Amino acid sequence: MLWLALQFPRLALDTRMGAEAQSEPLAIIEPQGARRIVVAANAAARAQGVRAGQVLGAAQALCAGLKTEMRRPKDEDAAMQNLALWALGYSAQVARHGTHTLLVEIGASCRLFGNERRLLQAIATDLEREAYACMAGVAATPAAARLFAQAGIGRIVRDVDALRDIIAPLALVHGELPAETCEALAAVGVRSYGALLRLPRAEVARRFGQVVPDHLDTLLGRRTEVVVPMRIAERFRQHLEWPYAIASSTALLFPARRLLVAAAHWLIACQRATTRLRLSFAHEDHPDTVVDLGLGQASADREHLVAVVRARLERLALPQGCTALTLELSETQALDAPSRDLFVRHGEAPEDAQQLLDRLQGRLGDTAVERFVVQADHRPELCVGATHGSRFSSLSTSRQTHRDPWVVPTKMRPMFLLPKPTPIEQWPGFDWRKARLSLPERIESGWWDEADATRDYYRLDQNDGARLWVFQNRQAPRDWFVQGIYA
Amino acid sequence: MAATIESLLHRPDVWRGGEHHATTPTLASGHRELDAALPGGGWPLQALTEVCHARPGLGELSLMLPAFARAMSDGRWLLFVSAPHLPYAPALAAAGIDLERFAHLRCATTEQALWAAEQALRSGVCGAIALWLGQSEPNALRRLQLAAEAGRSLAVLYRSLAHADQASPAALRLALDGEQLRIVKCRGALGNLGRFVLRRSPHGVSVHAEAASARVLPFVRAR
Repeated sequence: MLWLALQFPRLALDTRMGAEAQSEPLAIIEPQGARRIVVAANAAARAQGVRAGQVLGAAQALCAGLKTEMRRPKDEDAAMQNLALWALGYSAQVARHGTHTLLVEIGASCRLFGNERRLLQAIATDLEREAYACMAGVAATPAAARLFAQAGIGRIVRDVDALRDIIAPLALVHGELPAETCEALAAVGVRSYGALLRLPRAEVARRFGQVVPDHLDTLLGRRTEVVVPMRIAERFRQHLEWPYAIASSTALLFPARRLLVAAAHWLIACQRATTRLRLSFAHEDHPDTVVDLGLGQASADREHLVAVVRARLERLALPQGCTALTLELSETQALDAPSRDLFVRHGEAPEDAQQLLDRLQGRLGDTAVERFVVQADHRPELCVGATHGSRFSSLSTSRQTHRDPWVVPTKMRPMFLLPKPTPIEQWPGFDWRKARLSLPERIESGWWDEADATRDYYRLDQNDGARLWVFQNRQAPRDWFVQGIYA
Repeated sequence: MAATIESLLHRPDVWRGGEHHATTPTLASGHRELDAALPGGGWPLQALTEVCHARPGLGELSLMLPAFARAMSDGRWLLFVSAPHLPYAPALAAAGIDLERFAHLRCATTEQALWAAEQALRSGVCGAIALWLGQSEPNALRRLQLAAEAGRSLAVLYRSLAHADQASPAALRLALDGEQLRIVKCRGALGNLGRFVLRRSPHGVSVHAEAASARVLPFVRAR
């Protein structure tokens, strides 16, 4: 087990768009008893000396034009929940700790990325893009990881036995001991973990409480800390509302994208891929518009999902403005293998054929994409298996058949087939006097099922250069039909 | 003296009439006499090729199949967009088309077909694309030609012969009537490329230069 602790000390500020970078100083405050305490301050305020933990009066004395806003714990909780879902993209074991900390077990995920450094780099890039200030620590126990994050230790400590030496120089105040215990220890000159570890255990417990040796045991892995993993919902169904109606389907892509990104995180977290998703657009006074989208191949790639949904949205006609969107993954299946494009970021790899077909199918409709296999049947109209949709599954099962030597006819076959034979008299511009026939080919098959066929096939050359594939029904010799075109 | 002329001919600023200068990469058509006439020795890639045929069944698809099969040889796909009839898989397989990398798109409208073809051309996953169009605006064809330039695909557009006389941005335009194959327009070619005859064979079609179209005029010795 290797734990990554991610602490978001500035979450109160980072949940507000653009607050950190704005030029006027801003502090997020929170009432504590009768006083109001600064929880977080933006860059402009920090430049003038405002720090988290200050009393508001002191902060205002340092910075004259300080603007203040009340803390919104609900927003922070929602942000943490989203961050946890995002972290599920990197590990199946994610837990929230306190209000500002995520614990991510990365030991198992490292292999997917190659090594820890690369995984951590990917995580750091993501956080930077989302503009979250974050402190990180990596260690063999969750408590040590949190301590490293707090104390700013950048080492990756996989070995539990090595922890003791590394935490020795760290100050006790970085750890999670209660503040009064820290003060009591400081009063007897114990300020670092090294000093504390040198003291006899039983005496420390008697004088400062059982909490101290328990804390040390959790840090050093001698006592297992119970980490309650974030529960992953059985099904993915997320809902997003906004205060105004959006009528343009291109503008709808933004909320849709947010849900799809969360869905992709969920899929990766439970090692599944989706084959069908459902988007419900809610309207103010109209029944919901429901869009069902089938995918040719199961996918957990968010850019692919976004591309498919974008293509569908482009041809979506909404009866009126939309005020909420629900995304549901209606069909999922287990991910067979780490998919090649699972962790490829958009833009690095070119679109593959499957993605193209999915995108086309998304726009043109479920039956627009036709794929073919050659089946073992002598009747021309039955020896082609056409599969609608861009699915591979049905194709691969019968892949062997067209390798059979007899199935690929050595006789010249037409490029186009009329699935329903046309009576020859109805063929435009047909004239028996201007036609030549080849030698016949007799096809007699299907007596075992309904579509009985006893026919003589000919290639028919017309004077105008067109070549058709025609047959004479032997049970009714006057009936000639056109069944193919040698295009 | 002869050596001097030879060296002159190799100067880059000396341009000789009758030479073909291919501006785009090409793909051998699989028909020897046609390849000899086409600039660059084959169908142009990164450009639109237009085949205007008088009626279906003239061998218009068979003409392209050797090139389609070759375009797929690097693992890319072949895509038919709104073909007039069901493409018949056994015939395609016999022509060397890998059916696992072949798909047909049914499109309800011309706009959809154009959109799909454009997407497919730009994606670069298709080695070759064949598109059947009825009436369409010159603007749409120009977009198609631009999309073809963006990818490295063989892009073939099938239309009826009535369109052969209309202007089109396609780089290569063929007119097929009966057995007669005429090159209406060919970017990068000098002079008339002549006429060809399409002959049916058990394994598709073969293309032959029409005897009367020999480009060398007989030299009559003055007495």
